[in-house]
Amino acid sequence: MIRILHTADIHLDAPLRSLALRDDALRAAVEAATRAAFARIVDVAVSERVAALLIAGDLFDGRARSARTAAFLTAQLDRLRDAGIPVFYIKGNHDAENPITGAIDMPDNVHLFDARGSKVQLAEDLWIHGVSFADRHAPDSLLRRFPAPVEGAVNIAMLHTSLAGAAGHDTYAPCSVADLRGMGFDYWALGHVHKRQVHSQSPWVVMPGMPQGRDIGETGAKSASLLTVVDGRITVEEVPSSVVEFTTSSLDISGVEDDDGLRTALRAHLRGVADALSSAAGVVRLTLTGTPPRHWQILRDQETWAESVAALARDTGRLWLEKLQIEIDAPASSDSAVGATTELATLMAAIGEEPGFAAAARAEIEEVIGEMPQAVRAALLPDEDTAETLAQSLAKAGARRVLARMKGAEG
Amino acid sequence: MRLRQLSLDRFGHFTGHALDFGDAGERPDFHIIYGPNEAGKTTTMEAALRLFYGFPHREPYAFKHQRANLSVSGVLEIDGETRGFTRLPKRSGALLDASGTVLPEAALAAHLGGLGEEDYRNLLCLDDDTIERGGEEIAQARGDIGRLLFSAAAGVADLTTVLDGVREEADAIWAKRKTKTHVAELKRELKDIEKEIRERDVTTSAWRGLKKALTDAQAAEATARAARDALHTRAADLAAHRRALPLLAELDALDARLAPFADYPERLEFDPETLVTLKTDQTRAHADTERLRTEIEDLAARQEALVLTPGLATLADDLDQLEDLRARDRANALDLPRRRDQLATAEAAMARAARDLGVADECDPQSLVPTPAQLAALEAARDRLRSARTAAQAEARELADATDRRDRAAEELNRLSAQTSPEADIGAILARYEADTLMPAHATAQQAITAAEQSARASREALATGAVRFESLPDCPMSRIRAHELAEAYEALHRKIDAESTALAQHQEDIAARQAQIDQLSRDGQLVPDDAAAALRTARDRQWQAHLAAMTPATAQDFAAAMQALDGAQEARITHARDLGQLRQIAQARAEAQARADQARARMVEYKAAQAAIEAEVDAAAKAAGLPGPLVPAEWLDWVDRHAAAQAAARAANEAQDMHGATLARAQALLDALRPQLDLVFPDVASAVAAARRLAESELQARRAMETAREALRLAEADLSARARKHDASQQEADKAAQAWHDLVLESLGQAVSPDTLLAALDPLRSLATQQEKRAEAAQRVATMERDQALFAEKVAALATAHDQPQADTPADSFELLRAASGAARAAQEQADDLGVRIATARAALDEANRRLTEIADTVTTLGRAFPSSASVDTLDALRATAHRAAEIIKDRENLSALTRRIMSELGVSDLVTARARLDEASLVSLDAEAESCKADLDRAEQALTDATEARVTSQQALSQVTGDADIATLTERRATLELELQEAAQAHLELSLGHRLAEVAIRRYRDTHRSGMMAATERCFAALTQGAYTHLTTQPDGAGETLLAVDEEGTAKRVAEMSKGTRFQLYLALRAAAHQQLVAQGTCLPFFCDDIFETFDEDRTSAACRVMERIGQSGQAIYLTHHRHVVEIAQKVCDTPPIVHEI
Repeated sequence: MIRILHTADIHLDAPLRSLALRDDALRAAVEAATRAAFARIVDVAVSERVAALLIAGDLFDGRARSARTAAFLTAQLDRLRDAGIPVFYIKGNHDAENPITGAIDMPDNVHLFDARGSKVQLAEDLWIHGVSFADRHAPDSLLRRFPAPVEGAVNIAMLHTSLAGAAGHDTYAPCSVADLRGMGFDYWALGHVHKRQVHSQSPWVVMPGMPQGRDIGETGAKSASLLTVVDGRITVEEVPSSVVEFTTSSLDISGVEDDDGLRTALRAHLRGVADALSSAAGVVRLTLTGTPPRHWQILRDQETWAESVAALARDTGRLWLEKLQIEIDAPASSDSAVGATTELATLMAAIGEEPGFAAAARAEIEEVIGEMPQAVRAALLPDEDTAETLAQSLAKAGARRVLARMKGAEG
Repeated sequence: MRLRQLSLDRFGHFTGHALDFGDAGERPDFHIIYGPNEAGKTTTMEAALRLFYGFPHREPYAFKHQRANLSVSGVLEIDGETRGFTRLPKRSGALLDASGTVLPEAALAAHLGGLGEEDYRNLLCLDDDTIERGGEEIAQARGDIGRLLFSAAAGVADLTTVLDGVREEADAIWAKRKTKTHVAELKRELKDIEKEIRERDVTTSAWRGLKKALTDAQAAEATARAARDALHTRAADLAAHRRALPLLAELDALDARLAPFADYPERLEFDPETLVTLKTDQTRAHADTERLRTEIEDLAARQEALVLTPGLATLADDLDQLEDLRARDRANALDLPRRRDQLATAEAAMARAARDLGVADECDPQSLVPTPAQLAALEAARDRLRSARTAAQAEARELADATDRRDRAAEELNRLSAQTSPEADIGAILARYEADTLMPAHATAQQAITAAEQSARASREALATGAVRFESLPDCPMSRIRAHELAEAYEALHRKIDAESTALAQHQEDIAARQAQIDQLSRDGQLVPDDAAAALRTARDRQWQAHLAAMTPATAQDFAAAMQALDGAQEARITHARDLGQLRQIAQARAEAQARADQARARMVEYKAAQAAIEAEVDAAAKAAGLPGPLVPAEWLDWVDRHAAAQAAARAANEAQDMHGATLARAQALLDALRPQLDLVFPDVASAVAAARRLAESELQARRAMETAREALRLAEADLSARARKHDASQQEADKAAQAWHDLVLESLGQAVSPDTLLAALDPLRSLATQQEKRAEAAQRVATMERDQALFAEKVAALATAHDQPQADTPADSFELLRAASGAARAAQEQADDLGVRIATARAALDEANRRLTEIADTVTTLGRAFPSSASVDTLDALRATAHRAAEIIKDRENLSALTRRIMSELGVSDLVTARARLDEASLVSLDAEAESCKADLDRAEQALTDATEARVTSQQALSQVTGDADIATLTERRATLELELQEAAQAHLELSLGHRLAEVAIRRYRDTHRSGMMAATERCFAALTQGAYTHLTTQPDGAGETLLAVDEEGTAKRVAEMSKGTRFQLYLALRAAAHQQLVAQGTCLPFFCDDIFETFDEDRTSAACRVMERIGQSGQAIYLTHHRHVVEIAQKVCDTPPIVHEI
C-alpha cells in the first residue's frame, strides 16, 4: 500500500483579505493562515508516512516577494526530507512569475518538473509525470508534453490548468476533462482552480482546491487529497487543512417584530453557522433579507446592528463577522404608500438617473478615490466603466440610507 | 375613511367603553374628546391605531387586561359604506368583521392609504412634543422652504437634524484636507506599516546574494585552516626532535649504571615498609618488659599496708533510712516556736471579741462562734432593718412637703376669689350684636357712602363753566343725542367749508395759470386770437360796405388796408394753427375753472348760513341752562356729557345711602347697648367696640386664672392623701424588720448577746469566727511537731548502742558521728579492691611482650632467603639495608624502559634503532633555527584563518537574519486589512455624501412642485392662527434655496429666525394643516388626531387653533384630545358649528 498526498494553490504568504481581521482576537488566531494550512499538510504527510507529496502549482503567490517566505518553505520541506518523503512540484502561473521560485535552493528531496515534461519512478510500479509552466501565461494545452504512461504501472500526472476555463477569465493550459481521461493516466493531480472538485473517478481527475481560502470569494472548508494505492487501484479521501473558513449566510427576518426578537434570531442563526464550521474559526458575511415591519429602523441603525452581529458572532467563540449586508424591504402594505417621503424617494431615484447628477457624483467619487492609496484606487475603480456603475450603486445606497433615517426618525 | 364608532372592549383600564362619532352629515367633522388627566384620552387614540394596525408584541396598554385578552373594535365609514371591525392580539386571524368572520389584513390595510403605523403616527397624530420639535425644525432649517414643506408633509419633525447628521457623519469619515478623519487615520497607519515592511523585509534577490557570499566565505575559511594545520604539524615535529635528543644521552648513562646488579630480583616480594614496622615493634616490646616488672612490685606493697573493718559497712543503710526523719527534725527546730506564738495570739483575739460583744468574762468565747450561714442571715436581717428605717424616714419628709403644698394652693385660691368681682358680661353684648361681622360691614358701608357722595360732588363741580358754579344739579334743556347731532353737523359743515375754500383757491390758481398761458401765447403778437380775427373781419366788412357805398380811392385804400390786415391775420393764423388750437383749449379751461370757482363760492355761503343756524340753537339752550356766553356746539356737547355723568353720580349716591341704611342702624343699636358699660364721653361705633373688646378680653383672663388655681388645689390634696398612705406602709415595714432581727439574734446567740449591741457592731462576731479558724490550725501544727522530735531521738540512740559508737548532746549531732564512722570503713575496702585488679592487668601485658619478640626473630629469617648469598641479611637492620638497595635497582630499570618508550613516542618510531638513526644527524642548534622559521609562518597562517572565520561568521549571521518567521506575512496581512478598511470607508463616505446631495436636490424639487398649493394653504391657516398678525407668506431666494418670510399687517417681512417660539409653533401647525389638506387632496382621507397641542397657547391662539381644527374637520375627520375644560369652552364659542364633545 502506498499513500500519496496531493495539494495545489498554496499561495504561500498571500494575505487573508477580510474586514473581520480588524478584530485582534481573530487576527491572533488566524494570522499567516496560508502557512499554517501548508504546515498542516506537511504534518499529515509525516504522520501518515506518505510516499510523496504532490504540489500541482501555485506554491507561491504572484505578489509575495519576501525571502522569509522561502525560508519558511525550506524549513517545511526539510521536515519532509528528514522524514524521507520526496516532494514532486510543478510550477503554476503564479510560480512562473514569482522570483522566489528561482532563488530558493530546494532540498534534495524535492523534484521540480521542468516545462519540457518528464517522468520519475517513485516505486517499482508507480510513476509520477509532470509539466511546469514556463511563463506566466500558458494559452495552449500542455498535454502533448507529457511522456506516455508506463505500461503495467500506476501513472500519476501533475498539471496546472484552468481546464476549459471560466467566462471572463484568462485560460491557463486549457484542456477538457475528456482530453485528460483519454491520456491513459490513472490519476490527474491538477491545480489552479481554488475550489475542490473531483471531475472524474475513473481515471481520477482531481482538482484539490486550495488548502486555505483567502477571502469571502473563497468560501468553505479547504482540504488536500490523500491517495491510497493498493494493488494498482487508487482511492481518494479529503484531508482538512484550512485554519479559518469563509462563509456566506443569509437570514430572512420577515416575522421579526422588535429589536429583541431580531437579536434572538441573529444569535440562533449565528450559532447554527458556527456549528456548521469544519475549521476552528470562521468568517461570515451575513445578509439579512425579508420584509420586517421595522425595516426602516433596521436600515437606519445598520451600523449599530453590524456591531451587535459582530459581538454575537464573537460570542460563539469561533465566528467573526466580515460584513453585515442588509437587503430587506418594506412589508407589502407600504408599497403603495402615498405621502411626501415616498414622493421624495421617487424624486431621489429620478435625480440619481439624471446626467447632471451622474456627472457631479462621478466628480465627487473621483475626488475621494483619488485621495486613496494606489491599491485601494485600483480595487474601487479598476477601469472607466466601473466609475459609472459605482456612482449609481453608491447613490442608490446613499438615498436608501438617508430615507431610512427620515423614515426611522421618531417623528 | 372615518371612524363612526370606537369601542375599547378590553384595552388600557377600559372595559366595554365606546365612543360614538355619529354621522358625518353636513357639519364639520370636528370632535373633542375631553377628560381629566389620566382619564384615557391618549388611550383612545392608541386604541384607534390598534384597530387599524393591530397590537404590538410588547403592549404597554396590557396592564389591566392581559395582552391575550385585549380587544378593540369599531365601525368605520369606508367609501360611503359602514363596516364593523374587531381587532384581537393574535398572530393570525387578528382582524374580524362585525359577524366575527376572520378577515385578511388587506381588508383594512387597503383603506389606510398605504400608510404604515409609523407613517400614520407621523402624518396624522400630532402632539405637543411634535409641535415643539416642528417649531425647532423651523428655526434649524433657517426658513428653507423646501425643508419646511417636506418636513411638514412627511411628518419628519427633525429633518434638519437628520440631514445635518448625515453630512457630519460623512465628513467624519473623509473630508478634503482634514487630518482628523477616519480615512486620514487609516492612511497614516497604512504608511507606517509599509515603512516597517520596507525596513524589515529581505527580497529574494538580496537573499540570493547573501547565500553566495556565505558559500565563498566558507571555502576561504577551509583553505586557510588547512595551511595553518600543516604548519602546526611541522612545528610539533621539530619540537619532538628537540626533546628526544637529550633523552637518548640519559638512556645510555642509566644502562651503564645497572650492569653490576643483574642477579638482584626483578621485584621485591614484600613491602620494605614492613621491616620498619617490625623494627618499631621489637624496640617497644623490650621497653614494655622492663616497665611492667617494676609496676607489679610496687602495687603489691601498697595492698598490704591497708586496714579493713567490715562490721561498719551495714551502718550506712540504717542511717539512710533515718534521713527523712532527720530532715523533719531540722525544720521543726526552726518552726515550732512561731506556731506556738500564733496559737496564743488567736486565743487572745477571741477573748477581745467576746468582750466587745458585751459577753460576761466567764463565758467561753468559742461557744459564741457563729456558723457562716448564721453570720450571713444576721447580716441580711440587719441590712433589711436599716433600709426599712431609712425608707420610713424619707416618707415622713415627703408627707410634710405635700401638706405644705396643699396649704399654699388653698391660699392662692382664696386670694383670687377675693380679687374677682362679678361684672356685666361685655363679651355677651358683642356676641349678641354680631360685632365681628357687623364691624367690617359697617366700615364698608361708610366707605361706599362717602365715596359715592364724593363722586357726586366732584361731577357736579365739573359742570362749572367760567364763573358759573352750580350748588345743585341744574336741568339740561337739550337731550344728549340732539347735542351730539348738532356738534357733528357743525363739524361736518366746518370740514365742507374748509374743503370748498381749498377747492376755490385751487380754481383761482387754475384761472391765473391759464390766463398766464394765454398771455404768453398772445404776447409776441404773431398769434391772432379768434376775437381779434373776428374784429379784423368785421372791420374789413365795414370798410367793404363803406367802399361799396362810396367807391372812392380813399374807401378803397381803407378797404385794401382792412383787407390786408385780415389777410395778414389769416396768414398768421394758418401759420400758427397749432398754437391757435392750444390757445383755444386754454381759454376753454380757464372758463371752466372760472365756473367752478363761482360754484364753490356759492356753496360756501350756503354752508356758513347753516352753521349760523346751529350756533343760534346751541346758544339758546346754553342760556336756558344758565351758562354764560356763546358756546361752540362741541363745547356744549361736552357740557351735556358732563351733566349726564353728574346726574348718574347723584343717583349712585342716593342708592348707596339706601343700600347701607340697615347696617348703619344696627351699628347705632350696638353703640347704644355698649355706652352704659364704657367710660367714654363721645364714643363712635368703632372706638366703642374696640374698648369693649379689651374689657371682654380681661374678663376672660380672670376667669381662666380662677380655673387654674382650683385645679392646682385639687391636685395638691390628692397628692397629700397618697403620701399619707405611703408613710403608714413604710412605718409598718420598719417594725416588722426590727422584730425579725430580734428573733434571729436570740436564735443564733441565745441570751449572751443583746440584739441592740449587735445591731451597732457585727464586726466582733465576724472576728470571733475568723480567729477561731486560726486558733484551731495552730494548735494542730504544734502537736504534730512535738511527736516527730521524740521519735527521732529514740531511733538515733538505738543505732549508737547497736554499733557501739559514742553519742553526742543532741540526737542530730549523734547522727552526724555515726555517718562519719560508716564513711571511713567503706573507703578503705574500695581502695584494696582496686589495687588487686591493677596487679593482674600488669602481669598479662608482660606475657604478651615476650611472645611478640620471639615472632619478630622468625620473620627476619624467612625474608632474608630472597636475596643472593652475597647480601647481608642476618639481623633486622641488615635485612633493611639490603632491601633498600634492591628497591633502587628496580626503579632504575623502570626509568630505563620509560626513556626508551618516550623517545620512540616523540619521534613516532617503533624501535630504538630507528630512533637513533633519526637523531643521528640532528643537533640542538640546527633544530632551534628551523623551529623559529616555522613559528613565523604559523603566526601568518593563524591570522589568515581568523580573518576568514570572521568573514564566514558575518555572512552566516546576515543569512540567519532571514528566518522563516511570519512577521512580514503578518504585516502584509495587516496592510491588506487596512486597504479593505479604506475601501469600505471611502464607500461609506460616498454613500452618505451622495445620499445627502440627492436628498437636498430632491427636497428642492419637492418644494418647486408643492410650493404654490401648500404655501397658499399654509398662508391662510397661519393668518387665521395669528389672527391677522401675519397676513402673507412670501419667499426670498437664498443661494440654491429659498427662505420663507412672513409679512405682518404693516407690510414688514419677518424671517422665521426673528419669530417668537410660539409663532413658530403656529407656523408649524399651519404647515401640518396644509400638509393634511394636501393628503386629502391626494385622496387619502383618514382621521386626524391632535393630543392637547394647545397647552402652551394663550386664549387667542387657542381660539384660532380651534378654528383650524374645524377647518380640518371640513375635509376629513378631526379628533382633538384634551384635558382642559377651557379649550372645550373656547372651541364651542369660536367655531361656526360647535364641535361634538365626547366626555370620558
